[in-house]
Amino acid sequence: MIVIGAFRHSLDLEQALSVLERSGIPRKQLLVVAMDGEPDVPMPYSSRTKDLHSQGVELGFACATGLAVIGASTGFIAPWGPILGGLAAAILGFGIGFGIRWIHARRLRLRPMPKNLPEVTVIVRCAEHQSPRVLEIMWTYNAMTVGLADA
Amino acid sequence: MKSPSRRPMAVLSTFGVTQLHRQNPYMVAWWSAVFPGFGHLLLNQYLRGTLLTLSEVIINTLAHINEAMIYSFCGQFEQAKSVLEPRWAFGYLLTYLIAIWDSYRSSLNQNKLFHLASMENEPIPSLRLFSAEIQYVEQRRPLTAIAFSFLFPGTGQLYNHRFGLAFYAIFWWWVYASLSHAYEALMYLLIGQLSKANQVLHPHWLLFMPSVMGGSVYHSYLTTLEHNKLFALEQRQHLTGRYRSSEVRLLDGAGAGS
Repeated sequence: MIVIGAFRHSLDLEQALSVLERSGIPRKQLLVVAMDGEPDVPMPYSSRTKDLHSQGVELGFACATGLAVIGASTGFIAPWGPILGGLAAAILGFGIGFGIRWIHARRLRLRPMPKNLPEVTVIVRCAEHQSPRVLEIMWTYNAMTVGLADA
Repeated sequence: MKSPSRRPMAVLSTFGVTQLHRQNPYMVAWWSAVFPGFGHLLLNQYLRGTLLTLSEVIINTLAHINEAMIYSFCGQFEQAKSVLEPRWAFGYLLTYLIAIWDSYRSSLNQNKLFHLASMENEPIPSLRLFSAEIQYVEQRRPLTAIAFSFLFPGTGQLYNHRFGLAFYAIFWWWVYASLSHAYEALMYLLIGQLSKANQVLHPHWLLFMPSVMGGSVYHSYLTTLEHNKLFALEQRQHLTGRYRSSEVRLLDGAGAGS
């Protein structure tokens, strides 16, 4: 039998593999394949395929901090005061930074990476009577998906 | 232990994970401009980053930079001119720009070093025990890091096991909060006494707080993401080595050759 499980990189994954080995599956009957979520990106920083969401968050923080200083300063002569001025400017700045990245991404027709893709595939060859135990171990240690083939 | 590699990607010390990772040179330069030293902290140059932040607070206070900024943003340019201390302001300006320049330049070089280190692919440490600390590469939630640092700057660094920087930042947040009377002002705001809130605030110390909070949030967020990547990379190295001799063939017998 062949059992295939897809996992995220996690301590659970290593627990699953260790428990499988202790449950009588020899190490050589396990095949572990690390999966890439995107083709190998070239090294220079400006790679466009990187996570758009986190780029937006980063630009958001940068703009929020800059505007917060200005908002707090001008708040000293405004009726609403420096604390409210700083906070409002920070929220506005985050929106601006995040928005710029979002509009930019739409222009370039970039799509954010789907979240929670499996990152490691575990393939186990085992005898038929072992397969229920293998399935159970994979599910116990948070496999994302598990499949069984009579091969 | 194997012989130490020429370009390791990460080390674990009592103080946490120190790693090379891909840097955005513009973000590093920007955070240096927000608060000299923050760019170097992002580059994992923790000691010099800390010293730069100390000199920023001292020289800014002596030169009255924050007061001059407040007057300038409010359009009161005459008052801005009179409050600045020329004795300290010129040196402040020079070291301020050099801090930006140096962090930008270092980030470009660290990107090259990271490229080389990732091709060398030397084993990444995953866990080390010290007599006073346990440090390990761990997966964490970026949103939790953001929330911690937003609620109290420095605690996001604690979440990332970078406790030296964490307590340094926590200490300084207390200094800013008490000297600026920010929490008293917040209390007056919450009970609706807006004018009283504005009266108790001290502008010089208040103006450090948005930068420090922003920097702490960004640093903890970025560190969490980079630690997660390091965790995945270390695990991949480990699993590739451990299951190298796998004998699993999906097609065997006659099917294998086709």
